[in-house]
Amino acid sequence: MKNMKLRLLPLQTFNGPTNMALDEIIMDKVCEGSCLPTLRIYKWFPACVSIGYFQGLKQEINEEGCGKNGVDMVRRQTGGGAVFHDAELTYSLIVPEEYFSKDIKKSYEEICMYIVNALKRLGVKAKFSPINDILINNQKVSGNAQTRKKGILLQHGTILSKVDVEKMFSLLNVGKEKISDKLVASVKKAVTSLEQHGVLEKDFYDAFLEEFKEDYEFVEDTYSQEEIDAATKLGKEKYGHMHWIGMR
Amino acid sequence: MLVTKKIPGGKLIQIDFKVAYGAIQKIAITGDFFLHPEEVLDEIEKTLIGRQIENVADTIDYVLKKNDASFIGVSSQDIQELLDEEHEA
Repeated sequence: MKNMKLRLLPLQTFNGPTNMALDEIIMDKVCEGSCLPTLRIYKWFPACVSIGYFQGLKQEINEEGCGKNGVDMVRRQTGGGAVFHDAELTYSLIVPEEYFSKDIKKSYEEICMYIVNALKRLGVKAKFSPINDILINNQKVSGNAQTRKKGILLQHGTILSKVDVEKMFSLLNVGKEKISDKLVASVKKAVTSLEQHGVLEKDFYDAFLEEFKEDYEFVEDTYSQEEIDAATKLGKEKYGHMHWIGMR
Repeated sequence: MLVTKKIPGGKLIQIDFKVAYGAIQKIAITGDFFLHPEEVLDEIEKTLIGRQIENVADTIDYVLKKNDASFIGVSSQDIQELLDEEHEA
């Protein structure tokens, strides 16, 4: 895939529902050929908890805790687990399916290697941990999730910049089954962040883009007003709406 | 009845179900697994209603095949085993 063109939407901050809606809108555009395959990098404000497409709202989210802390809630279009989006970088890669392996598990690894290799550039030894995680010293620094619709692959994922475990677990209902399986002595030892390894978010961002430049030619772009307007509307009506968030 | 299991090497699955005379009366499957395409879970749940509990895996496989769908992090057999364990318990 050397030198394929990739639309780059550099770091920008949106609220949770708009972020998830932008992914859907850009997937549609890539599908109909009205924009290039796209890499977007973004943050979330206000902070937001996202749950996977198949998760039960009540099982996963402490709704009262979110309300008290002014934290948004969204349900993603992708499976996977609940995530507290606060001090982190998030990416979405939206490309035709054939850019990566047809085997979904294999394609997770192929895409996650951009993160692993970016960390390597910065002197941090990380490894891909199937199905969809990246670990540093057996602690999770990145979670990723993928969907494929109409021939288009969307993989989005987070890289934790800083971690406030107390706050994270006041917003999420973390099941004891999951923790014990990962052989983690305590919840606090299950996750790590760039900060804990002396990596600045800005440096990771640059290294991540450098990794993509090995394979793609970036066409730097900005969100069109039409995209922002459509995503704001779709975010309100779908991703941030209780009909959707509470569907399971 | 709500049952939960973290599949070794896979994902967490929770099943809220009710059985009467050996047949599924209600079932809701949640968790942090993946299923492609995602919408097929609704069809799986609907199709399972009225089926005998021992036929759950076969029924799920039928719906998956019909939709060219696949689970990641959980399998139809995992779901069958979880229901069997709890139902017999």
